[in-house]
Amino acid sequence: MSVVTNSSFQHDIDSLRSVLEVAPTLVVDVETNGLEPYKSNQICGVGVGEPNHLGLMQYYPFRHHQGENLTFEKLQQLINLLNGSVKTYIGYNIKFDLHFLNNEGLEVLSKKLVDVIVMARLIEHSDIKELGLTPTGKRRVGPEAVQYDIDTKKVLRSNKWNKDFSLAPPDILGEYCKKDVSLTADLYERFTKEVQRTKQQRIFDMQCDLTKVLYKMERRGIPIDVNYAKRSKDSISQRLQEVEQEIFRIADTEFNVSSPAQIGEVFTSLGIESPVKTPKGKDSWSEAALVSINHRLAGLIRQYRTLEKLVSTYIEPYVDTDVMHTSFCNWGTATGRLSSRGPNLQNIPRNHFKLGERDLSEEERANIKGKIAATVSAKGISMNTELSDDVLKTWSFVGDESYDSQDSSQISIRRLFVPRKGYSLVGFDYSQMEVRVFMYHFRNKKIDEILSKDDVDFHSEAAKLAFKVDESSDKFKEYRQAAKAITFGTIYGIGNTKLSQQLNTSPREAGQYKKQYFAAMEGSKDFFDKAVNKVALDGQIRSKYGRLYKIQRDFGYKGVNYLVQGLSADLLSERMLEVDKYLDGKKSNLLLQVHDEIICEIHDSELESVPYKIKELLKNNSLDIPLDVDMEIFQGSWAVKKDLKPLTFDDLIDWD
Amino acid sequence: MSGIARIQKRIDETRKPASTSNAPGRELWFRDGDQVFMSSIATGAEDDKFLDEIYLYTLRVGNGFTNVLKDDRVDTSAIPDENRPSHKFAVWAYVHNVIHTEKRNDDWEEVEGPAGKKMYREDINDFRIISLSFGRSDYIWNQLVDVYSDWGALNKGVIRVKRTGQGMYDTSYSITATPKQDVIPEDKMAELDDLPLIKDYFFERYGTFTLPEGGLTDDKDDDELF
Repeated sequence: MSVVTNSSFQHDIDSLRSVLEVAPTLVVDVETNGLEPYKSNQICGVGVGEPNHLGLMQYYPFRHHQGENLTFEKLQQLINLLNGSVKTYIGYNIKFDLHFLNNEGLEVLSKKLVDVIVMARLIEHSDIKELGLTPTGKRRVGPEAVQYDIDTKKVLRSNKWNKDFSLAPPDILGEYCKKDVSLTADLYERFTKEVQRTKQQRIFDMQCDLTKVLYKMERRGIPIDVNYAKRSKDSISQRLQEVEQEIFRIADTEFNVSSPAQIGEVFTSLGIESPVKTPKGKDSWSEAALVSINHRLAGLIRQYRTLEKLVSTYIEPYVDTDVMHTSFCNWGTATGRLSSRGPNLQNIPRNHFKLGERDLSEEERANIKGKIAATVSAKGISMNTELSDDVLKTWSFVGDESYDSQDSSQISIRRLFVPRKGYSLVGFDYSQMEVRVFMYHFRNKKIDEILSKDDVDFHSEAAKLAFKVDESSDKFKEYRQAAKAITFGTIYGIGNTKLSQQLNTSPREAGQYKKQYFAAMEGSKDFFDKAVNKVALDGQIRSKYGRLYKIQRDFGYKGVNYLVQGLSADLLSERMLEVDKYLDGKKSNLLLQVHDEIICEIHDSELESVPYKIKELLKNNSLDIPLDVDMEIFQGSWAVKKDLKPLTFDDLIDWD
Repeated sequence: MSGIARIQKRIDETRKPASTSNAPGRELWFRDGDQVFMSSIATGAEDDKFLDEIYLYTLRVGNGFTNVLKDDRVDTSAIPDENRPSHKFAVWAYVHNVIHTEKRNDDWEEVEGPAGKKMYREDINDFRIISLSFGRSDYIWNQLVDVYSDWGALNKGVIRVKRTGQGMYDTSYSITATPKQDVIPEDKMAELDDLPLIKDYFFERYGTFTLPEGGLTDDKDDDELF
C-alpha cells in the first residue's frame, strides 16, 4: 500500500480510476479525530482497497497534525472519482465510515452498501458476542492477522495519539488503515463464500438494503428539545440533593452514595445484612439487593442511583445536542433484532418520573410490589421480605406511561424527542407480534381463526382454549396470566421453576398448566419439540426467512426463541424496506425503530394519507402472517400519544 | 327560517356589495371570526386559470355598496378620481364549510371545542371565489405564497382562511395549510370546465357602472369591506 503524497497523487488516483473502471466495488475505511461525525470530528485520512485483498490499497491523508497531508482539492478529486465510479462500498461497520465521508461530499444513497460485520453476524455462532474487526479477524484468519492492531494501538497509546488519530503521522496510521482494509476485504471474501454455502443469500441481500435504510434514519436523526433537557437536568439535580440529604440524615453520616463499598459499610453499621450475596459469598449491594431490603435507606439509595443514571445517560448528553443521531446495529443481537447505541433506544424509559414523594393508593402499592417482584425475579432471586409503606413510598417517583406536560414535577425522557417544524411523529407498533409469529409456526384452522380476529387478545384466547374458562369466570384473569406466562415462557425458554415463580405457584402445578396449554394449543408442543431436537441433532436451526442460527446442542430451547424473535425481527426489517421504498420522493421519513415499533416523521401535507399506507405496508408480509399494527400520533413530543384517526374538519378549527 | 335569521339575512345581503348583473354570486364573504376550509382548485402554476389578480372599486351608493371592476372593458370614467380601486387576488376553491362564531342560521351545526367553546358550521360543498386584498406589505398574499412553497402547489390539501377583526384598520386574515387532504367529489369536479375565468366572472358581476342620480354617498363605512 502506498500512503499517497502530493507528488504521487495523480499516479495513485489514476490507478484507482483504472481499477474502478474494471470493477466498481471498493473497500473503505476512514481514520478520524473522534467518534462523532455529527459534531466537530472529521476524517484525517481515507483508506481504500480492492475487495481482492491482495490488490490495490491506498491511504489518502488529509488532516494529520504531522507528516504530509494532501490538499483539500485532492480530497475533492477523490470524492468526485468515488461518486462517479463506485457502485458498491464494502466496510466493517460501514455506516460509521460513510457518515464521515458523506460530510466530505460522498454520495451514499445511490450505492449498494455491504457491511462485513453484518455478514459476521450471519455466519458466526450465536454465542459469539465480540464481532469487532479484530476479534472476528482473529477467529477467522488467525492471531497473526490482527497483530498489527495490537502493535499499532500500543504505539498510539504510548504517544497519546489514541484519542485523536489525526495526531499520528500518516505513515503509521496509513499502514494501520491498510491492514484494516485488507482484513475487511479478506473477511468479505471468506464470508461471501459462507453466506452462499449456508444458503443465506436472501437474508444477506435484505440486510444490505437495510443497512442503507438505517444509514438514512441515522443521518436524519430526531430533534431534541434542548431547553427541556436543560430544565430537566436542573430539576433532577435539585431532587438528587434532597434525596442525598435524607440519605445522610438516616445514615447519620455523609458518604459516597454511588460507592457500593461505602453503602455496605453504612448498612453494616446499621446492622442490616444484604439478602443477596456475591458469588464469593459477600454481601451484594446491587439493585436486586436494595429492592429486597425493607429499609427506607435502601429505597432512597435506589432512587438516587436511578435518577443519577437518568441524568448521566439520557439528559446530560443532550443538553447541547439539537438532533439525536442514534446508531442502529443490524448485527447487534444473535436473533437478528436491531439494537442501537448512543443512546440505546430499547432502554429509554416509557414511564415518567415524579420528582418528589407522595402517598400511594392501594392500587399503586400493588403495582409497585409487582414491579419489585419482577425486578427480583429477573435476577433469579426469590424475595420473602414484605416492604413497609415508608419503603414503598420511595418508589413513588416512578410514574406510569402517561405524561402531563402541565405538571412540572414530571420528567419524561421521551419528552426530549420532538418533531421538526411542519412534521408530526407517528408511531406504528406491531400488536403482539411475537405471539403471532410464535403461533404462525404451528398454524392450523383454530389458530388462523384466532389470528384473524380484530383486536384479539391472544392470552385470553389461549386461556379459554387451554383452561376451558370464559371471561365471566372469577378466575379468568388468573388463567389469562397463566396462558401469557406459558406463551412467553415457551418463546423465552423458561423452566417450570421460573414459571412457578411468575405464577406464584408450585413447579408441579406450573408444569400441569403447561401440559394443559400444550394440549389445547394444537401443534405448539410439536413445534417446541422439533426445534429443540433439531438443535440437539444439528447444532443449528434455520428460520422461515432463511437465517441460520448456530446454537449449542444442549440449549435447544434457544432455537424456539431465535425462530420466533428472529423471524419477527426479519419481518420487521422486510417491512421497513417496503416503507422506505414507499417514502422515496415524499417528505415523510422513517426515524426510529424500537422494540416492535417504528417511529416516522410525517409531513403535515402527508398526514392524511401516508400513515394509512404505511400501516397497510407494515401489515402485509411475504410470509402472509396476519399482523396487526397500532398507529399513534405523538402530540408535541414522543411522551404524549393518541390514536391516529383520519382528521375531520372540526380537528382543524382554530379555537383561539 | 326564524324571524331573526330572516331579517339578519336581509341585512347581510344589503351589506354585501351589490352586483351590477343578475348572475349568481360565487364569492365568499367573511365576517369577524369566520374560518373557511377550502380546497383550492387553483394550482398556483404559471398557466393557472383559477387564480388571478383584479382591481375593484367599492363605491357607496345609498345605503349599500357597489363594486366596479377596473378593466379595459369597463367604462369607469364616471367614478371620481378620489376613489381608488383595491388590488385583490382571487382564487377558485372548493369550499367545504365555513365556521362562524355566531349562529345566524338554523341550518348551521353547532361544534363544541376545548373548554366547551361553541362555534357553528355552515356546509357549503361547492365552488366559490375567495378574493382578498394583498394586505399591508402583501402580508395576506405572502401567506398564500407560503402555502404554495410548502406544498409545491396550492391544490394539495385543505387551506384554512380566517378573518379576525371588523374595521379597515383592525381586520387581519390568516391563510394556513392544514394537514387535511380532502377529495373534491367527482360530480363537482365535472363542473370545473364550466367555471368562468376570474376576470370574466368579475366582469360579469361588476362590469357595468352608471353613476346614480344622487351620486355616490360620501361617508364611507369601511365595515365588512375586507
